[in-house]
Amino acid sequence: MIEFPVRSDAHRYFEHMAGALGMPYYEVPEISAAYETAYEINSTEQLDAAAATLNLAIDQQDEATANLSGAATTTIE
Amino acid sequence: MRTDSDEVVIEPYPSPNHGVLSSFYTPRKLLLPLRERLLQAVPRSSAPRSLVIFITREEQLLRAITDPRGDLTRRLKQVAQQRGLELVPFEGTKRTMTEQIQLFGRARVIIGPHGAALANMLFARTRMNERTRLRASAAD
Repeated sequence: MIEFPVRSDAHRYFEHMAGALGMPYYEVPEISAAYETAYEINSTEQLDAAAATLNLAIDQQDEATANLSGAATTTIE
Repeated sequence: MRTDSDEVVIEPYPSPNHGVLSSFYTPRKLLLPLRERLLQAVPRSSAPRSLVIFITREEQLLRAITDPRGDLTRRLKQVAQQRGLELVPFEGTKRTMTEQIQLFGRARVIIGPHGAALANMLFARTRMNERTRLRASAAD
């Protein structure tokens, strides 16, 4: 999962939850906000950062799928 | 178990041995059984996990995304399509609990602002999650 963080420790809740569930967790600090304000999208840098993080997350999901396939085969044998 | 509820509330778990913030963390030993029970109660979709779910918070007063030209949605949709995935905007108030569980069960990636909707990661059937579940079962 990918979170646009808030500038407080509150968002660590979901980082912890993802860790507990065994899910990779990513942040896009370029898209952040104070706890009670809106996320303003106003720069190409933000869009590039979000796109790069999404690509990274998909890459690592694909890698995990490949690794799991190998591990499952080993277990069954 | 009823699954036509509009919401699931995950209670904070007391953790007196840690700091104040960590007392709000829900531990793995509660999350995994909760996840299993909820998933068992909802018909599993056979559709592939091919969704990038973009939590928009567009109807929320706090921490909404201000993007009047839709640049962020357009960019994320472009990446998803390039990777053979489908971007699905998600606003939690428009779906039932069952619909949410089934939708997030098809998620490859979940992306969005900090907020309660991120807790729907509980229902994502990622390979990572499946591996964790298998290891947890083995440990038990």
